[in-house]
Amino acid sequence: MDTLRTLLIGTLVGAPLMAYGLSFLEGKLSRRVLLIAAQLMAVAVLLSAIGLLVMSRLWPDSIVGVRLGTWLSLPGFEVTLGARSDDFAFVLTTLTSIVLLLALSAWPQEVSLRWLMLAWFGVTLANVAGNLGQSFVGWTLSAWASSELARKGDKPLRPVWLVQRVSDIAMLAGFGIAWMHLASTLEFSAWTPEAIGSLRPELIESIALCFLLGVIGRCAQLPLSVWLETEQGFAAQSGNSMSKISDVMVGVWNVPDGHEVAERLKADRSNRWHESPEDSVPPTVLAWWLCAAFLPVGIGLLVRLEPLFAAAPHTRLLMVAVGAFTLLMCSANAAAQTNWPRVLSQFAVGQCGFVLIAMGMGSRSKGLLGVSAFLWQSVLIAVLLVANSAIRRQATRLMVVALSFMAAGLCGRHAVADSVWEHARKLFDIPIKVSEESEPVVLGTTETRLWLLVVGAIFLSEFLTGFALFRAWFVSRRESVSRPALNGDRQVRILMGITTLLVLLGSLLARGEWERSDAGFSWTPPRMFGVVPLLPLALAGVVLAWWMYSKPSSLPEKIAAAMGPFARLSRNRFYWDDLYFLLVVHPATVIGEWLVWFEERAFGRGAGSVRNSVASVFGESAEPLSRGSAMIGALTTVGSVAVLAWMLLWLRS
Amino acid sequence: MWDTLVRPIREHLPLWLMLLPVCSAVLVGFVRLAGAAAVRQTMLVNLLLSVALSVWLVVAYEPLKPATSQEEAALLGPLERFQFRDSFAWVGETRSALVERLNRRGERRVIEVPAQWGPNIRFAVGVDGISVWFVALSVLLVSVGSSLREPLRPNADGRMPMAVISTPSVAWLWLQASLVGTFVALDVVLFVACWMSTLLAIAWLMGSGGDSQRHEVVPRLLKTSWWGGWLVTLGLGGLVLVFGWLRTSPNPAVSSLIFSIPELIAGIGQLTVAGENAFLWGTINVWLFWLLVVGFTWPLGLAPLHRPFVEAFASAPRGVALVLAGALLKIGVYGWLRFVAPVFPDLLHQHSDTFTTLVGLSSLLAAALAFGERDWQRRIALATSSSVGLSLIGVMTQMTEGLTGGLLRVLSHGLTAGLLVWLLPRERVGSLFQAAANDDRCFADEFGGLKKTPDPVTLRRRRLVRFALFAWIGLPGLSGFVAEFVTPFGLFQHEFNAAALSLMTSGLIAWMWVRADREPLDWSRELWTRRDNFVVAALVTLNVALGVAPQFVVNRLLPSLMSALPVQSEHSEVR
Repeated sequence: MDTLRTLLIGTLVGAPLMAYGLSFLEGKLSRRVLLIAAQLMAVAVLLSAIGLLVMSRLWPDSIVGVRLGTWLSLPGFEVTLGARSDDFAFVLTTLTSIVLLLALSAWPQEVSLRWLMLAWFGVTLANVAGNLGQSFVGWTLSAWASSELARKGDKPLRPVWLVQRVSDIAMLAGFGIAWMHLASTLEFSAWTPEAIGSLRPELIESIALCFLLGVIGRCAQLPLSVWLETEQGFAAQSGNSMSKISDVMVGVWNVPDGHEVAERLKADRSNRWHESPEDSVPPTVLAWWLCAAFLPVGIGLLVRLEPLFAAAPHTRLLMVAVGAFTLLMCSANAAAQTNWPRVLSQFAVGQCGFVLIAMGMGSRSKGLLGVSAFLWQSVLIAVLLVANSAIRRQATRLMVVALSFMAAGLCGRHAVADSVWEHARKLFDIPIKVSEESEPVVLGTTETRLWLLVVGAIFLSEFLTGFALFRAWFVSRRESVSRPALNGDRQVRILMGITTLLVLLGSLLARGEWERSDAGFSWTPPRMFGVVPLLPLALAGVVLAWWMYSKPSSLPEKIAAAMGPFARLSRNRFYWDDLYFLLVVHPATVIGEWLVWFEERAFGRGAGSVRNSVASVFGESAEPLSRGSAMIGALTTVGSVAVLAWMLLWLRS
Repeated sequence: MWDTLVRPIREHLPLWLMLLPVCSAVLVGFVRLAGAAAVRQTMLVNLLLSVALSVWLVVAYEPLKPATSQEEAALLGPLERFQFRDSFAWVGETRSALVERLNRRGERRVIEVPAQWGPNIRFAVGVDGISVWFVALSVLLVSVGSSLREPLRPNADGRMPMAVISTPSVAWLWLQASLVGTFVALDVVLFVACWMSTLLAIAWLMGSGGDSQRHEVVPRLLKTSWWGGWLVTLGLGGLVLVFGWLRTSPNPAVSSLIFSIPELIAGIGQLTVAGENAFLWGTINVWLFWLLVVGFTWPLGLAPLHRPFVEAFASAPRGVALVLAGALLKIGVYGWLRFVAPVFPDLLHQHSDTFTTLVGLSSLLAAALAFGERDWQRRIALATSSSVGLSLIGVMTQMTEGLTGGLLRVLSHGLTAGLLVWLLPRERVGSLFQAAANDDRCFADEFGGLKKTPDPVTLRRRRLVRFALFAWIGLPGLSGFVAEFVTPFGLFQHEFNAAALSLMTSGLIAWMWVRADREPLDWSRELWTRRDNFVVAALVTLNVALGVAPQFVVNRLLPSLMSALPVQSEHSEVR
């Protein structure tokens, strides 16, 4: 048993590393061979993760953490590499392997495999990490390598990595403070509720806030959904103060109105629904980012640090606010996007916000409910993104199945929404005394109102999600098929078919309730109609989409005109990017340039003028001060030597 | 074979590392008559031998070697921290003195006793786990820098002017010997002399190369460093005197003044624990502390006192700039580690909150200035100033994690800055944007940016620059990552302000490099030579090696750090 366990865990960590090593042969070996080798390794990891999951269920004590080596060791500070025994780690690894298999089946020719394999290794390290050090190494490595996948040829660094860096720094701060106060160990096993409970509340909140910032950056939640761009964009070049701020992850190019690119897009009716722009991230890479490298890794950390967040109520409240805000904004944005990758990206980021809401309730079971729903959805999103990239129109039927499932409101979302409603209602029921004399009345606290707002946001986002997905599907049907089917398409189709079927069955079965009685196991299907009417809301969105987009008409234009600025706001992602530019990028740039100017004036010319003034006061004898410092330097040297010589002579005497 | 050939070299490696460039300089003086090729070959042999010796030194250093004698163990600790020691009388010597004594029977007898003549200043060299890395880095960077000489212009008759070849070669060798001497010196006077000597060598090299501004900026750099050196001289001189007062020897024939750095550091700690000595030391140590603090910090080029360094870096020839930023600037950090931290632990602890906050602000200011810069060389110089500040913060924490992180950052910065400077174009045309006006191969793309079809050399250089930027920023698997990861753990134990400032600086530097990456340099006039292959391969390999296997460095570093500094193991109780 031990040998088998070691073998499986070794495969889990070793296969990505081996694949990375093999990827250095890119260009020497045929790409097909490399792709097949990578797929085989992904299958090996997938089987290992499933095997470990099964072992942990059948023999709960058989799985223990494995330490493969030490990267850095200082007294009281040891970073080891290995894998920990954790079902959730194996689930995440399984998900990563499935997404990787999907991505490899349609990997773009122009994107290097090397970075993908390195990113895979990083994601694996982060997912199975048993200590802070390995977690941080994997976290940073996967973010960096995954960001590099978006670079085409010799283009400059993508700003996506910068926000990931903000997230890294926040994480590091959290790790630093936590390590100092949690018995100086880097092991996650020290993060017990008892150990956390012994800390001061404000300290717990600080640590949790740092980690939340890290997760927000990693999962593209607001306000870190925008990736900082420099002022070198086209808008700045054309003298427009609203610079090009691109959100690469969600694939939006924020084209200011009036710019020639915007006019060209508007003039071409075929651009109403079009391929992603040439410079945008390939959909397969997006699939990797959204469904394996960024969002699930961030959520994984959130789950791992659940005891910490459970003890930090204020940070949890912030988490809920961020999640709800992101969910609402992304759902609204998705309704105005013009290609599949953008729609799905917005949808994925929004659903990640949903997980934050679920985790923010402070109950592990409810949080895991949201996480589980999100992970199942991630596979579907990956399928759709890869399908868009590989076979597009041919996958229509699959898309219908998958979209129906998502738009109808996943059972998990339903369950989480019900829990949120229950949570809000409970808080609302708590009686409060307005004054000492008065009778307790039920008013609701600020937290109660926030939860009610969250419920509202969930309602609205569900409606918008149904509308956005079906609008996208209706409009995309008008698109002409741009290329004939290729041989590889069949393989992709089969893979996607199997995956979709498994996900459908799996999520349905997992969300249902198993009961054991004398007669054996029985299964109750998940609720599709709960207290919260998500399904009707989603259906209302679908009907609206059908009414507006099932046939080409001028209705959307009329409605958009009637909506006035809201349509433009939605299309431009509420000018969130521009706000970012105004609040962060532009001030930082101006301050930097001003400092350089000030330094030049104050220290450069100022020092010179002081020297001149001193020289003019003291006359010719101080002239070297204004001319230059060679003589002063020489005098100083002679002085130093004289002092040294005097000291030596004195010592000798 | 071993005893005849290998052992004499192995047991005196620091000495050989100092002597080799001196011998090479003498040799250059002779072989210059044979032509430029002979000078170059001599330099090449020196380079190869120096690198080989420094690698040997690193490998041969035994961090956990037990002390050889009980006396040494009692004074310097159970481990033999300073190894490969050599000591020769320099100023002052031990002579025989005739002393008249009365024997038991009341008869006068003249007996001969050994007596110290003059101060016991010795040419003493050796290395510990800290200096061994500084030596290796210095040798590497001087080797790289000396290979980076600018192209020579032949005379009208087509021959190379001999003075142009041999003079900088001698200056480079002088710089190498001085720099190595600074780090291996185990005598106070030798340390100061070698440090000052490096500045003269730098001045010589900058005088014989660099841009038209060098005559303005070199004196400023030297002035700053000399003032620092002068203060350090006074501080160390005072330290020797104070130690002499405290250490009253029963034997008047033995000099009470100790110039040996290991004994001075260990002795001060032992003599000032309690009693009258503690009172005396408490009165004087503040003065000495401030002299050394200002003396070692001033030449570091920290903002807002960074201008002399930044201007010198921007005006210097690339090779000199490389050594200036990669090794020479770090002498201040070395001084902090060698003298300030072990001799004045209490005073440092008392002021460390203020110091770390100030240096953190300085690093942030340098990073902000780099952010606003458009010139690559000034960017590198300012980022260097910021990085040195972050290293110094690590040292100031007096925590294992902070110290280790600070030292690793010094090494990492040396390697990455070396690679970046090596890859800079020879002619300072600035970024591609600045060059666009005169280059018809650049044209605006549809978004108003610049488009250019890069040639393979440009492409390769651009990728390597990106690699260096990644290493500088601190991405996993590369050299900067270890320091970026470890230092905050020390800083958070020490003070929150310093930790926050350090993390903000790291973030700003990362953003600055991402911006810089959007302004690629113009390498259209550059070639890719075999020398580029060797140097770049070495620097890239070392960068990756430090990132992947930092424990090799840490193993050698840690015992010396632990024995030299009062590291608080119970860090949780400190705050």
